[in-house]
Amino acid sequence: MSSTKIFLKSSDDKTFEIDETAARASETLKNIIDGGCLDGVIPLPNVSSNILPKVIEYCKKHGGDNGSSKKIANGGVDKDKEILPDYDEEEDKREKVRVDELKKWEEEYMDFDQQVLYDLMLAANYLHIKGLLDLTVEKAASMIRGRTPDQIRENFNINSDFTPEEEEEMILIEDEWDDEWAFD
Amino acid sequence: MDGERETKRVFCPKADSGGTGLWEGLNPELLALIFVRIPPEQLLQAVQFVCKSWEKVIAGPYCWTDIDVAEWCSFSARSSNTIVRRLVCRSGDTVRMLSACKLSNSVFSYVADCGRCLTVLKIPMSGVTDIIVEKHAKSLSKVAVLDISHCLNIASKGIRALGKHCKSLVHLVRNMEPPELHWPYERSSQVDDCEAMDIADTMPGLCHLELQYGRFGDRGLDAILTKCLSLTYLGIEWCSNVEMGGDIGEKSDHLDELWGPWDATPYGLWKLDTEDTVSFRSMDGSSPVSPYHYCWSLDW
Repeated sequence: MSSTKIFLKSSDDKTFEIDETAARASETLKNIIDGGCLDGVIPLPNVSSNILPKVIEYCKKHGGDNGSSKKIANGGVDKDKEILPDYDEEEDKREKVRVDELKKWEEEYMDFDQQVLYDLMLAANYLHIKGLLDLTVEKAASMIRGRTPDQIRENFNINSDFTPEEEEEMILIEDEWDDEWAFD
Repeated sequence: MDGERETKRVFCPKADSGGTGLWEGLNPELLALIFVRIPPEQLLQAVQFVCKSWEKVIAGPYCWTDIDVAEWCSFSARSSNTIVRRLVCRSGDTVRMLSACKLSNSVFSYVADCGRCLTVLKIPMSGVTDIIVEKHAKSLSKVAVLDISHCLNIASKGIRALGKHCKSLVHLVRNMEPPELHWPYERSSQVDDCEAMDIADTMPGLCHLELQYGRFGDRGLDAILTKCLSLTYLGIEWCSNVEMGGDIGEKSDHLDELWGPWDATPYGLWKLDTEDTVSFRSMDGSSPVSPYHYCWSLDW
């Protein structure tokens, strides 16, 4: 399968190749492509070469040739539709397998530390890739939910910038909240 | 649990452990995207103590346009008044959705004052009175979805005031408890068409109306069906005074969904618990699921 190749240049001047179909997963890239301002290489001054391959991997999975090759494979099955009465059931099964596979892929794909998470979230935001932004935001939320301030700081490598006096004050406020939110 | 509490007390035990400053500096809009996925009580109990920039974002209005503490209410027998007041205060008049229960007069007044953007207001089991509703209804002009179920102190006047001022109202939930819980049988079985008439007169734009355990009879129902011509959903389960006589059947033809007085809803059965709480259990005995997903105490 042939598709127009697009070249993306990272902030540190490294060039990466991506199929146009995959690049369209990003609203920002889609607009650049459709706007006809394509001049060989698209510079992405906000995305480094550490993160760009990760972004491209996501686009390939979601906007790109994987999807279309699936469609072609399904098209091949289409001919059997009339012959096989249980076609719908088969299709359902395939869909379920596809969803399960995607979930597994996402799990593996999202296995990285907070530093990468941060860069990827910014890249997804900058490139307007909604699915990837949702994934990263949800991962960050899952690193906060049900945790104490200290655990959260550890997860995100944050230093408390409160002065000891402010901390004292906050312990008081926190006590107050504990009382108000207390579960009976 | 105690151990957890302990760690929570110690702020920044290992200062200067080499924080990178990344997440502190994340732009507020992205932080807010993350924070709206965290339950409000956790934002206030833990997340706002992480660092100053996060505290600032949580103190700002970004995170508080939709305030839903209904789930928290379902675990707590306590009123949510203080919480609601603080959260609405944080929204800085931008709150669009509030779902809480057992609000007092003073907090209702406060919410209404800050509620110029409110489109969804769900305050079942609140003790708000007619006088206060009449006084503040004009601030709630944008409310389209309203739930005042089990608000025993709201009656004819309050409903009229809400109808008069909430011109965009399309969805009203006014489910009550079995009247015999509160009044002797002679009174509870009396037909009272006032509320139904008020709804019919002042809320002609309604599409969705729930009036479980309403005390109105056929006259009130007829008025609603005659005047609220946009209705598509009507739930009048357990309205024992309704007989569905006359041409009510015909008039209700245009409804997509009608739950009549004797249509047992699939929710479940009333069950009187110990500790004076009435909860609603589903038929299969799983966890309590009232139509509002709350349990409540009878003596609020």
